[in-house]
Amino acid sequence: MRVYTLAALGLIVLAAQTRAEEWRQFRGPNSSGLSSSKGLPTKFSHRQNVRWQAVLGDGVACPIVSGGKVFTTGMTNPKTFSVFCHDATTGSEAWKKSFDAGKLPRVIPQNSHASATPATDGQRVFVYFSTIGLIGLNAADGKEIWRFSLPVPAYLMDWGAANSPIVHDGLVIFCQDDDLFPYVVAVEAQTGKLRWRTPRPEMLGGYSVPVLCTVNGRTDLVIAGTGKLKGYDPATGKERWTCSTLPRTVMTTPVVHAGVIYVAVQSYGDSARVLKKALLEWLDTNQDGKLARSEVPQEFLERFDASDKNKDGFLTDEELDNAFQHPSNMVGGGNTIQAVKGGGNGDVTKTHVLWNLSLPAPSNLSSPLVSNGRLLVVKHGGLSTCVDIANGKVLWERERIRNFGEYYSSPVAGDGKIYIAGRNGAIVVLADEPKLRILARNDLAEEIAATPAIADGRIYIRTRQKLICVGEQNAAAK
Amino acid sequence: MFRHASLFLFAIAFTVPAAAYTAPPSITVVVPAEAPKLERLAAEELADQCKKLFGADVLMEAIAPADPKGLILIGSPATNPEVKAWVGESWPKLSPQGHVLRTVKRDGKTALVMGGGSPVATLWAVYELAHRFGMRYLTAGDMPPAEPAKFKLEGFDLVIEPQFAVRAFQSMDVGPIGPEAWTLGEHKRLLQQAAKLKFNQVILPVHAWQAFTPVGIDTARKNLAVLFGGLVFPLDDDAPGRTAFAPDTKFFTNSAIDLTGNLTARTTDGRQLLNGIIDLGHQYGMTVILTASMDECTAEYVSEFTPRDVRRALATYYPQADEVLVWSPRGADKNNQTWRWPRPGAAQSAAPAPSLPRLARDPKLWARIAPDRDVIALPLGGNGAIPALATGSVQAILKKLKDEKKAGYCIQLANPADQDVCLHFLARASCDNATTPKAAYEEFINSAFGEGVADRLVRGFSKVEEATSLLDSGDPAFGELRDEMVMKHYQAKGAAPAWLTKAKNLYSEAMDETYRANQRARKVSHEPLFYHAKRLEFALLYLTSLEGLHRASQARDQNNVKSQMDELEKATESLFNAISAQAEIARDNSNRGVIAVANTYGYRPLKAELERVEKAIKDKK
Repeated sequence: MRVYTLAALGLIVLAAQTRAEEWRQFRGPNSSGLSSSKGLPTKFSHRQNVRWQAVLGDGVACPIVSGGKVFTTGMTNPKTFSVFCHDATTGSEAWKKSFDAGKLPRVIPQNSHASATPATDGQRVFVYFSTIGLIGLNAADGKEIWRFSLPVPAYLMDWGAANSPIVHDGLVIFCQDDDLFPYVVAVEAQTGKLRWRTPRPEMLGGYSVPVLCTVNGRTDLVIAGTGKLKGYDPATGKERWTCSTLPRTVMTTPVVHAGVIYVAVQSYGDSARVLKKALLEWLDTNQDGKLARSEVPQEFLERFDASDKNKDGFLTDEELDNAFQHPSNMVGGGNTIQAVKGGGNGDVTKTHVLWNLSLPAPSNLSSPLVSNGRLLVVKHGGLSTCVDIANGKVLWERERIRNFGEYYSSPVAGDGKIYIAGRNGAIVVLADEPKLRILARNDLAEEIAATPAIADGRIYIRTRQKLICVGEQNAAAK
Repeated sequence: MFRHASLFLFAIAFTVPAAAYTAPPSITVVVPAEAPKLERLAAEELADQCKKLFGADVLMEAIAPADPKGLILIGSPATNPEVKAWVGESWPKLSPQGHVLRTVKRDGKTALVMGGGSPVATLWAVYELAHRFGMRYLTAGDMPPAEPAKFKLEGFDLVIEPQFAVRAFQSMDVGPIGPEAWTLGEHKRLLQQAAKLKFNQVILPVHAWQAFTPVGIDTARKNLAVLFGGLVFPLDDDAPGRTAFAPDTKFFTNSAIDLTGNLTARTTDGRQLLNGIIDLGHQYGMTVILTASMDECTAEYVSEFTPRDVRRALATYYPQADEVLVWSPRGADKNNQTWRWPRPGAAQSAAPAPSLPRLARDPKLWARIAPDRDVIALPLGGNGAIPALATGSVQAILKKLKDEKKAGYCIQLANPADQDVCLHFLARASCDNATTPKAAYEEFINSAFGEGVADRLVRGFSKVEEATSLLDSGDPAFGELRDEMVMKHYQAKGAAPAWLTKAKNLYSEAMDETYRANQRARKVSHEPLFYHAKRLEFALLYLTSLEGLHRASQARDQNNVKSQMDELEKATESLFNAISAQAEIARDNSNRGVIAVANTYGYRPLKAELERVEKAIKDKK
């Protein structure tokens, strides 16, 4: 009898495990934003179809889901960074691990110190915090397994850290494109030991999460950054290829589909707006057309001194050109949606770009969604544009989704629907169709900067203060 | 090699110059146990300020210890024997408002005396000392200096006599953006800061239909015990900026008064709020005066009852108030000093007193208003929807007040934080007529935000002041909170007036200067500068929306429906973005009032018009 019971229990556990949908990193599988869930709700709000909610404290990092658990982060008070684990179905808190945040750098108010989305390999959860570095935690109980210190990133405009790790083949890979010492690093998921570290000196501050692109059996680690899309060997960090078609500031993450990398980037200004122009606009406090030492953030003084060739205490002309932006990568602003064939070697700029659209459409903050052969971008004002990925043909351009405002969160899709969260707390639901059709506009009553996670028929929405799980009553059964 | 390079980079990144450590000072504050309440408060406030400024370890004593560290004596020879012993005959002649900060020596020891001609003046001496050490008093709270101050006892010899006997702070009146919307907590914060800026009176204008008056007063209005003249500012799921309100908020209100309660409950709430404000005023040594007008009562009531009757009714209702002044259509209450004071604004006109630029520059207006008044109303920032600044006008008016030997002024605030720099000027200039707006701005900015910021911010403030004056002369009713405040620009004929576009550009430039200053002010919190930058962004986007409405109107008049639709959509989006910018920094009910007003009078009618035009286009197809 006991054997039968155990066997039955085992089957139930197995069934539960096989049913549990995984959303293990920023924007789910390979940052695609795509879920296989069915029965996802169309209509919900902060009071309708809410399965559970939890107050976490300030944060803009996305939730992730694995093994029936949701992992999130938040600033539980101004000096404490916390990692949370909740039961995905009931919302009960399984564990919470808190860290002293230390002396925090200034970040712009749109950002939060709890900004990096965790990643998991199912057994461990990996989080990044700017003043601590990478941390490996046991997914079951939150116990700290290892810690890998990293320098606090520095941003000329105080944007603050917001990059997120991914996990691939036993490695935690983390790209930190800041304005001082940009790099990508891989540490062993099990031990936290450094496997490789590759500087990215041509890059400026950016927030693209690395994605994986497999072509002919070879997997590349692909990272978008200032002026360039680059492919690396994920096992060694060695650069394999470069495609020099991007503008200066890259906040978005590419999407990979069938060996093709899709990028949508908007960088403020025209192609002549190199970093110098932004610095003279915002850091040159007295507007005298040159940058004084006192006008540069503390973290950049050494760079300032090294760049001040004539030692007059100012950066002017060429000194300023070369002080912060790499001389070989003097790109400016612009808009682009492009498809780049993966699997290249060396400079693929002229050989691998399948199509490149210079539309005023792309967002600078939300990443593109590729679903059912179409690429969708949403930008400030709730303006959406959709492109046929086969040929770059525009299906619709800058049509309103009936929700004004800013879009920091990226679209996600599942069950024939596309979910787009506006910063104003409204989530617009579109039909995943070749024509724009708005199904609903749902109010979550609180700012949203994080991309929602989807698993097992539920949507996990990280508002600025809370984690809200919405779903139909019988979502799990579906 | 690679690993060494990494370590090198890591080492560079982690290198932080070691700051020189200075031990916090020890300070002994001497105030007798039997000292007046306000002098006890002065001692507590001094301890609080010393902790904020220096991280000081403060010891409170009734008598000076034999070997004191950082000895500070609070009070006057009349209230503190230690002051008498240390100062002796050299105590200066002071008016009840005069205050003194003086370094004194005795038996080779040094002490700092802070006192005044009255207990409240002693309190002001403490606030003056903290100011001298770099503390700046913002309406949202205190701001310690960007560069930590160094404590000292030496070198003080100041006797300060305010130039105006009346420095009043109006803490009520009509309007969803101003004091009528403030909770008791918000009033507390503002009165605390007003005391630090040496305001000495609180004026509470009440209206017959408000929840603050006895129900027995017969009013011509049907809605009694209401707020905002009975107007409601609804909020729905579609309202931009609604994240600044608690979830499920259906309409904007002052949470101190539950408008869903019955008449008695509402007046009970109102009375509790007003009594709370009166207590707060007294706590900080301020005289509290209730003012009312019988303009809003029924003709029958006015013919039957005199202002004295109403005054008596209000005085019974609020026995703690120091004075009650009542106006009547038949004339002032001769038994008190009504004539000295600004008359309360007509209910629900939401129209402020004459604007400061007009009052400052128009001699006829001054001649019409000033002779009848001993205290002049200063409506700082108008109705508070968009940030306005008129410090130059305030300077000119202060000079007139002084020349004409007026008792003083009564400030009216709608969106308090917009006026931080102007209030700083006003407070300093009220005690020192040599103070100029520029000098006051620089003093404020250099201490609060550090070096290298003042130039940009002063430029920014002057642009806001220019824009304020332009809007005021372009359309004197521009700032009035009325249902047509946005849509009248859609009904207007022709292009947007040049003054509107110029004012918009000035706000844009001021916003850029503030963001630039915010980037530079690295040693302090982003918050106050970011707040101002976002308020300016609100102004820029709001005016952009109005410009768009003029374009939409032109397109409509030319029967260009597509262009009309496009411009309407852009104008609606601009207003949405303006409200969202305000919501990003919403921290009090004034900010939330801006959101509520902009939704009710702007976004909602605009969206309805947008949908109407869209439907018309579809129907035509």
